[in-house]
Amino acid sequence: MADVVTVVGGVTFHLSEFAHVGDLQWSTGWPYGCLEASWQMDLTPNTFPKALSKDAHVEIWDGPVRVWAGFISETTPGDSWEVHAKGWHAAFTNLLCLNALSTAPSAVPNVAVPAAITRAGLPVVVGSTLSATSITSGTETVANNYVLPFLDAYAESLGQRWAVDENYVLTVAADPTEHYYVLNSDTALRASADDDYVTDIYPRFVATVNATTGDADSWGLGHVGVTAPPAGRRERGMDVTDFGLMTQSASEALAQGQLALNSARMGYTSGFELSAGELLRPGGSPSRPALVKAGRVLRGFTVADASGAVQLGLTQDVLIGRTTYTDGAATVSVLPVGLAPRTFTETLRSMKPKVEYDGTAA
Amino acid sequence: MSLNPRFMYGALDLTDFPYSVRFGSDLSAPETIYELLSSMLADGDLMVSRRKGNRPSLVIPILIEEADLLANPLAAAALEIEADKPFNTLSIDPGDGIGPVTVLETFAGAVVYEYDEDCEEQGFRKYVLTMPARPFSRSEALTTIGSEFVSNTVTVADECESTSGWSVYGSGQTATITVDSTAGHFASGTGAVKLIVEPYYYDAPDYVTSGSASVSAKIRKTGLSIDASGGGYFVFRHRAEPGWALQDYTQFWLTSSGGGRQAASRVAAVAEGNGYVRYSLTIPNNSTITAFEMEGAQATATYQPWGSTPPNPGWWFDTLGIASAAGGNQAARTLEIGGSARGEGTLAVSASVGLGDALLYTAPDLGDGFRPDWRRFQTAGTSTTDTDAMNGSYVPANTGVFAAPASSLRPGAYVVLARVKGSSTSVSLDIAARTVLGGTPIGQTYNLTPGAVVLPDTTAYHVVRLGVLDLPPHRVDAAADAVVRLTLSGSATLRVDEILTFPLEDAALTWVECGTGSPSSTVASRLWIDGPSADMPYGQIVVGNNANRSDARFIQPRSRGKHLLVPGRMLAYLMTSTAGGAALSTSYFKRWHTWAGE
Repeated sequence: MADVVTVVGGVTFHLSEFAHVGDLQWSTGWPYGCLEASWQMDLTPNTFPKALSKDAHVEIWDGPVRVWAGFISETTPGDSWEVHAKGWHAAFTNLLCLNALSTAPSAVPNVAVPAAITRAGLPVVVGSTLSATSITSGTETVANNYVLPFLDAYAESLGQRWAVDENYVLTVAADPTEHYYVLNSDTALRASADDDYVTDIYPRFVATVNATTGDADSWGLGHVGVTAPPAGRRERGMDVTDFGLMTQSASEALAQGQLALNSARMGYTSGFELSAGELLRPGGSPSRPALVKAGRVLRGFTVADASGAVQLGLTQDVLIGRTTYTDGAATVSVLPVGLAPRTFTETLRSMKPKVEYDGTAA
Repeated sequence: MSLNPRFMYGALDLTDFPYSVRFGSDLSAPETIYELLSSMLADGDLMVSRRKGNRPSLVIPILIEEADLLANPLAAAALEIEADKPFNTLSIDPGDGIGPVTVLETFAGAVVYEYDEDCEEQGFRKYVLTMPARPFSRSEALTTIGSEFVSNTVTVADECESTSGWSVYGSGQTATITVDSTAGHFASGTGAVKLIVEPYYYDAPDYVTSGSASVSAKIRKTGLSIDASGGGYFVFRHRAEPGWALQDYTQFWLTSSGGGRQAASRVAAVAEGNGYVRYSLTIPNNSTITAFEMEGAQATATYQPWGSTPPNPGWWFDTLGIASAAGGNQAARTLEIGGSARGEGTLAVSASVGLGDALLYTAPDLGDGFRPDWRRFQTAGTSTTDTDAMNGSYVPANTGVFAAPASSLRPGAYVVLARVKGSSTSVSLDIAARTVLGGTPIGQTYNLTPGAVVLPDTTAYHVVRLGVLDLPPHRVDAAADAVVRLTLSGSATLRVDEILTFPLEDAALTWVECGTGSPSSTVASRLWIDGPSADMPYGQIVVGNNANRSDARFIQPRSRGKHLLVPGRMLAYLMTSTAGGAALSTSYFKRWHTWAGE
């Protein structure tokens, strides 16, 4: 059984010492790392322990191992309190990309991100080397942007994803290729959804800018594509005009990044519910369900996917995009990256308005 | 036999005037809660039960006999008061004068009146008392298991390099007894005594099924002269052919000059190199030990169908001697837990000085010889003396290599801790784990890259958490001759005193920082881990310096484990980084499914 610990003003509270903590559940994702956590506490309606203050740091421990870290986002009092927490990636939704002195918006990753962390006093540590080059054509942008869409855009431009994990480390990294888990059963996933299947991307970029007014003058079109698409041709336009003035090759680099993330493959329409004995490490040791996190590759055996891209009878690697675990359960719910929304919950989640990054240079 | 049972409900004797218990009591039963285990089986489901639910409803029909209907309700009121208490106990003495008292821990219940006209006319009233109770009953008295651990240092009295004195004494048994000097077959000296015992029983296989062979040996070694006057533990090392390990119910006897032949119980089993397990037995009498006997070591092995010969097990014995009670900072011991159901209790650690980093790990003893510490398996890396280190020396983080028997590591996730001292507060220590089978590394290397580990200072050793490793990295058959090798890499100025791995499944680890030095208000020499109970649903961890707990105070642990006491053998590993020779005592109520056995 896991323990929930909160830290407020430097003081550590073990929540199970106040009241019974029940229905503890947490999720991890790739990208983003620790996603959400929630639990119930048997407190009376009129108490408000300092331990549950808004923005209190939350850690979930499985015995001596920390499995999730975040902060309290919402508490709902009642006969049984409901507490919701979000991972540290969510703190970046409300922090702007500014330079170190907060005098101008910044589009340079290794300036904007550490500055935001310092201003908010977040416990996040930057683990990867962030680029010192602006991701748009200028180091300063016209519009104010939030750090979360900025990191999304930066990671996508490299064909990578980013996450803040349970050890507070922010990493921007490519999808792993080596498999971490092995499926010890005949459960299999078939990739059959073509919602996100794309073989050719045509980026529309700003080619020249009027010297006097600064407005865009002419636009260009780039192209990147997969040489031997596994199924039919699917084209998609990509609007990178928000990134300001850029060359054709720069626009194609961005498009290549997006293509790499989707890899011209079919999407999945469902995930797995895996129990302890089904999930093994490659050497055969069973994996603990509470420790399964997103961003790792799961290797299953047997099936080909609908595009015929995987040969029948061999292995199929699935990149875990989301895990949800309920404390004390014997199973962990695992969803792949590239999950096409088919259930109501998934559709709602995919429809949530995404804040776009506006990189128009100042 | 005539029975005179007694039911005590709280302070009320339900079998004494004016109460009596009528026929029809129902003690109900713990509820088995099943879960389905997923598998690849085509038909049926695997059902596992990880916990039991409460006894749903104890029913005790009662008759209250008073002189009139004025005194009767007053007696009923006393019963209702007991029934309203949120927690209460029902103690049942079976009444034959021999059987022990069984205590059921109950929750608030109900007292229901049953109208009966004949009874009313006599001034009697019938009631039915019902209440739920905790699943398992318990014994009336607290059991306390004492405390000493066995030192790793053995004073060897017999190197087992001669066959004299060894024999088998089972009726009709013979044995081929030799001295085996083959490299890899002995633990120390130049050889070990090997016994191949006959007859062993086997089911002859047919063309389809495999056969099984078993042996039940009675082995004796006489002619010993081991001075046990200073106390301590009798130690011997044993090696078995794969599949023929000593079973749990093997019995041991030690004959001593002052006490004759007496039974000895096993207190620890530690896996070592070359397939040996070091067993420690209690010494029944502090005189000179003259003989050692072992009996009933049933073991079975299967062999292939028709035409193959059944295996004939070899058992090796090496180094018979004495080990004293442990004076070191880390030790392991087997706890024998009585009763028939698991429960919780209080674990108390005590020493004469501040405990430092106190780590207590308990888990059911699987007999695989598992211990969490790896330094004793060091195979490479220069050890440099350092009195501050628990092991008396350290190995630099860029050179240490350790190899533990793979059979002692049950597959799963392990949390890895290390006790280190650095020359700067931010240090790096990586561990690479690989399975080595028959001398050749196989499978993948698992890397544990904890990243920057931050130490509080550079002046003392500290226990730090490195991360999780899934061990063994490549799973092998339990009988295989394989080790798991951990290779350290890191800064040469980082001093590694110990590497510890604890399985995360079914295991409990409590880690408390108690302070070092002389006992004071900030340094604790005693630690109590109270398990959860009805009055303390989450238990507690307190520290102090007085045995009677008069100065016990709360402490926040670094890690908190649920130390379930499971009947049978439990492994207890205790590390107190700055207090040598710490003692562990366990107090618990033996738990039973219904009737207490003692």
